[in-house]
This record gives sequence, C-alpha cells and structure tokens, in this order.
Amino acid sequence: MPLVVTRRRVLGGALFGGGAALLGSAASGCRAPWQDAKAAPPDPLEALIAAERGLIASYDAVITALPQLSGRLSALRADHLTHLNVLRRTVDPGAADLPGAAPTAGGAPIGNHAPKPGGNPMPTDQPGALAALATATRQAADRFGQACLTAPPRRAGLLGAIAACESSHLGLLS
Amino acid sequence: MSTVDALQKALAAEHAAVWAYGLIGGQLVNTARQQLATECLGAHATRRDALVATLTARKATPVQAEAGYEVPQPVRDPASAYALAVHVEEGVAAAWRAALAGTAERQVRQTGLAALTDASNRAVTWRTAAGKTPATVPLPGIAP
Repeated sequence: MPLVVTRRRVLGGALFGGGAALLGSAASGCRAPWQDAKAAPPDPLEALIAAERGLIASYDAVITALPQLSGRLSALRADHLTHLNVLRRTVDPGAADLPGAAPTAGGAPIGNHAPKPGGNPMPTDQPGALAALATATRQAADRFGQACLTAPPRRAGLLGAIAACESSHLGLLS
Repeated sequence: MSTVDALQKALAAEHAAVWAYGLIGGQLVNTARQQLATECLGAHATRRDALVATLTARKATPVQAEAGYEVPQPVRDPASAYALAVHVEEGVAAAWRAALAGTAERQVRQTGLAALTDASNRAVTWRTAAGKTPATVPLPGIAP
C-alpha cells in the first residue's frame, strides 16, 4: 500500500482565542473547513488505470461497430483487462477483478468512451478504427514508459512490462 | 539487487540469447525467417557489448558467456527453432524487467525499458511464426 502522507495545517492558538463556540462545534464532530486534512495526493497509478479503462472502452466501441474485428482484437483487449486488474490490485490489494466480457459478448462497459467536447469518437471504418487504436496504444506505451522511468523500484517492473506489452500490440494493429 | 547485479543478470541473458540464435538460425529454411534470426542475433550482441562496456566502466567484471546452454527441447526443425526463439526472448524480457526493479537510475531504466520492449516485440514475431495464439502476453518479463 502506498504511504499516505497527510498535512494538517497547524493554526496558532491566537486565532481561536475568542472562538470557543467554534472550538465547541469542532469538538462535537463538525469539522471547520480549515481543519480538513490536506488530501493525500492521488496515487499516480490512478491516471494509468484511467488510461487502461479508456483503451478498453475504445476497443469495445470498435468491436461493437465492426464485429468482424472481434476475433482479431479480443486478445489485445484481454491484455488491457489484465493490465487494468493488476494495476487496480496494486493500488488496492483487495480489489476484485473486473469482469472480462466485451459488451458485444454480454459484458458490462468498463470505461467511459463518451467523447469529450471537441474529442473524436472512434472511426467506424476498419482502417480508421485500427489506426485510432494504434494511436491510443502508442500513447499508452509512452505514458507507461515515462511512469516506469520515475517509479519506485517495486513498481518499475510492472509499469515497464505494461509499456512493453502496449508496444507489442502495434504490429498487430496495422 | 544493486544496479550492477541487475546489469550482470541482463548480460547473462544476452549471452544466452546470442548463443541460442546461432542454434536457431541453423534450423531455419525460410529466407525471411533466417534473416530475422540474424537480425535478432545482432541485436542481442549489440546489447551484450553495451552491457560489457557499462559494467567495465563501473569497475565490475562482466559475467562471461557459458560455453553452451541447456535448451528446453532439442532444436532440430523450424518449429522447435521458433519455440526456442520465443523462450529466449521471454528469458531476456524477464532479465530486463528485473533490472528495471533493481535500479533507480534513470538511464539504466531507459535502457532496460528499451530492451524489454524489443524482447517483447521479437517474442510476438516468433510466436506468430510458430502459429501460437495469442501472440502477445499481457506482462512481458513477468511470469504468468
């Protein structure tokens, strides 16, 4: 589990010199805003988990629109699902695996592929769709690679392996 | 594991890979695949030489190649040659993946990441040649 560091702002007693009522309410359980612990920074893996969810959602969008690609793409999608589950368990060792099936096979959607304002939905022609998956995969490989370079040693191997896997998909998406 | 230990283990794997590709190339009849085996041998020799230089610069004695290595199954035809090639790339991937975890030095990590990526790509190529599906593994260099 990552070490969680919280920073609590320590306020001088003078500020509360006349604030007995405030102190009273704090003591009874209501937290004054300045008493909130500064939130621990999110685990950097969360952004990578979101990236894998996005990739899986992209695969699901393509497989739904172009079912003839399902055979070719399902193994690649399965790799991303493994990445997602391993990353989730790294952040939370008790996390249960997400179910595997693509929506076209009855599974629940895993990522949110709603196009962002100004964003592009997945192309619905085969060459365009494969190119879009390759672009997204290349971006993921770069992100995981960068994360690997600066990760603590216990995570560097996993992040490097995921980066390498993403790269290994590129030849199969052309 | 120290950085030097990590590099020595990677070097041991690259020595084995160079030896193995000599065996592999000898069993291939397809010209394109022979060419591929030659390129793989060259790539591993390049990594080996770079590791020797790095270790020497760090005042370590680079681990030596063995005279020969055990193979999981006899190499006597293209199919067994492809299988050995996959096995070799998986072994090289494992050594470099461990090296990533064995160092905090950015430059060593960069080398390790590139080497792990190369090994993963080559493993996919050889699995495809062997007709193995799926051709990819989700976590190259990490035992399933």
